[in-house]
Amino acid sequence: MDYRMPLYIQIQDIIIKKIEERIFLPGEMIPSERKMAETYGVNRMTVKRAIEKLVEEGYLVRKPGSGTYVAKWDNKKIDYDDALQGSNVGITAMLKTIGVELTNRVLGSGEICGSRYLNYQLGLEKDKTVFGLHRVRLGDGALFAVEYTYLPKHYFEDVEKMDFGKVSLYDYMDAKGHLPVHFTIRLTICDASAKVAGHLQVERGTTVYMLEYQGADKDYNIVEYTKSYMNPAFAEYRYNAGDA
Amino acid sequence: MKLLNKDEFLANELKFYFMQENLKEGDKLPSERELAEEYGVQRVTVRSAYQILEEEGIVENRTRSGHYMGHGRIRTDLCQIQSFREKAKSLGMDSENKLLAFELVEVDKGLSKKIKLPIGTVLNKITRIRKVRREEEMFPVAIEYAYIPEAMAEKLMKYDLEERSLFQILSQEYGRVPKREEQVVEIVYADEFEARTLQVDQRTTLVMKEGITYDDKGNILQFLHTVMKKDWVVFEQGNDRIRQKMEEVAHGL
Repeated sequence: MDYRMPLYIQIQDIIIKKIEERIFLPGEMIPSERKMAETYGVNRMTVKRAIEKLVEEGYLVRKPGSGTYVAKWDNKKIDYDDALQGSNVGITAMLKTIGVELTNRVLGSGEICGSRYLNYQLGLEKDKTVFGLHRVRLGDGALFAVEYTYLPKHYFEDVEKMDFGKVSLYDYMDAKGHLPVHFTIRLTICDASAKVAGHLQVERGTTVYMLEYQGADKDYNIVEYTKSYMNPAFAEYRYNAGDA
Repeated sequence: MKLLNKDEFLANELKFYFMQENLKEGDKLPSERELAEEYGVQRVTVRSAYQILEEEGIVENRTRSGHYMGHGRIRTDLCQIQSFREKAKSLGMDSENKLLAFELVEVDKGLSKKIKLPIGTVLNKITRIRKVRREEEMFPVAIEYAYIPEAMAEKLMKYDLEERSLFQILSQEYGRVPKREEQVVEIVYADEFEARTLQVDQRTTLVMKEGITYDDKGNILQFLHTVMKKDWVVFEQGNDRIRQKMEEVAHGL
């Protein structure tokens, strides 16, 4: 980029570059116009013009009263499904109503220390910290699943700053160079505990799917352990097996 | 707010403990009082942790006697075709295969959609109960309805369907080797016959697995509809390198 180019074009380029380099992730809010004007020492109108252009081109989306967000190219993508299917794992959870958009609601997140069980699942030594992310997944307003995801904190130092209600977890993990690509899977069918039943808004003791999986990145570091409880009203599992 | 409540945290730690101690079905587990002391929590927390493990089907609560390790699960590999007998064997259990009925049926409209064969196609229908040995008795865990096109296996009835697996008979006697399976897993309620046979009540949910097996030429070899007791089954796909990473840290934890 030539420094003699109009400033609004230079600002545009900065934003596109950050989207491409995945510094700004799909669904993430970008800094405010005022903030960017301050950062680059330009007039706010210049920033505004750059953003308007990028909204037109589909890079960004404005949400009135909230801010400007990085567009999601494919809103229908279920990252979960995608990851499991794409990596040749023989199982997929299907929404019975096809074409439903899944959204996430974060129930809570934070560090967990001293859990031998979680450290074991993630292949982490005793002194390493686990980061937990508990989410509810909704499809068309219906509660589809409650998911407890655990990550090794040392690979994802800034994980606390992310809003996983908006940003896809796998996009974030990918940006950090630790996208899970190898999986182990364990599916059992059990009774919903009081807490799970509460999140799924079913009665305690309702039969639910419990899917546990571990994901390892391309270098075989375990980067994820997830326990997902699914409402059987919305899910079924399919898999394909071959001979030994 | 803490991400995990004390009982959830403890339930996880107990799972790790069971694994580390390599506990087996029927082993007596520490009392609520012992665990409360060891982990520095209230007894009510321990009780609640045990309840979580019961709901997951890991632990059994015997009235006035305490908690015991529950039974194992029959493992279905998500990638590899295996007979029931092989699966039970990998669990270290004796299994039995009881033939309930052998019929010749014709494909009707309902079945046609599932088996992907035209109506009127003649099928062998084989109904069997799968049992595993628990202490001294055989305990029913699943009912299997297998449909095999007659054209794939003529006079199938003359073979011993209790002693040999269907896949074994199909490969050895008919030269038709199972190559690929497409399966779907769902949760269903027991019908009257299934409830009676599996000794459960009719409001019990069962795991239903249904799918088609093809041979290497793409012929439909079998349509199998299975209902299973849910606390007896697990569908798994392992990964040796991930397992190895876990084992490397297990001792230091």
